[in-house]
Amino acid sequence: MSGQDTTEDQVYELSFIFDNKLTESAASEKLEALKELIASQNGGFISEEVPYKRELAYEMTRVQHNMNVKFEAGYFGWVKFEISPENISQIDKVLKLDEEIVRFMIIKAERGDDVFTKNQNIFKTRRGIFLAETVEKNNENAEVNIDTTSEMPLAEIVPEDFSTKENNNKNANGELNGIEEENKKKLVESVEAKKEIKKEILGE
Amino acid sequence: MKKRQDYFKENSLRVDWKDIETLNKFLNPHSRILSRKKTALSAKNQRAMANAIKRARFMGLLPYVAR
Repeated sequence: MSGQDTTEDQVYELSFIFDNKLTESAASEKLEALKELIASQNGGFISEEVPYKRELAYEMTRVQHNMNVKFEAGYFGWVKFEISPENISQIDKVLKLDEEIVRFMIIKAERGDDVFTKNQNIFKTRRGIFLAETVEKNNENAEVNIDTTSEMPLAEIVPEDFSTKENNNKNANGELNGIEEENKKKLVESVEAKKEIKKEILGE
Repeated sequence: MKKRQDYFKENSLRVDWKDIETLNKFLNPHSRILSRKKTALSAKNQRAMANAIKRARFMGLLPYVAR
């Protein structure tokens, strides 16, 4: 019954969160190791997303050296591959024992368009969750460009505005009316964008 | 009143748990899944969407609760 012709291959998707204490190169090496593991079980590689560091939506715990370790960030990535359903449990067993993998999930998938998560991000504010493009550190001092074409509002506008406002108040009280007005405009625009989203959600 | 279309059908999208940008449309500010009444999805896509959100939550892409 172990003949390879009897069972058809199934497409699987393995997604994972690696320990955020790893370096970026170590994380991608770990992905290579996973792909080797898949290949050792006669799996065929289809596509992948290289792990990148991202904030988790909530705190996760993972036992490392008999201790509960908490994680607020991790390297997220995924691999799509094709393998005989008999061999998938072997991969599952190995991954469960790896303490550097905070969490993983193997699901049945299909060939087709791949969705990449890298440029999507969750931005938490007091009012709720918003999506924002990943903020690069270089852009901290750069001007905020409001993209009217994108569907989602640039949620990072709100916190950035608050910070600049605070700085403005600290620096000088006068002569900054123009800048404050600009900030107000941006705030109003972001609020309007949020309203649009609400409308979209409620379908009104 | 105009009958509203299924969002996934309209945009010829496939429901994918990694597409949190789309899934976020079907969450309220407390990050709870909206009902079919509000999402206007087909029964099939509503189930797929709910499943996708639960998968995204497990992998830390979406929160279980948000204030």
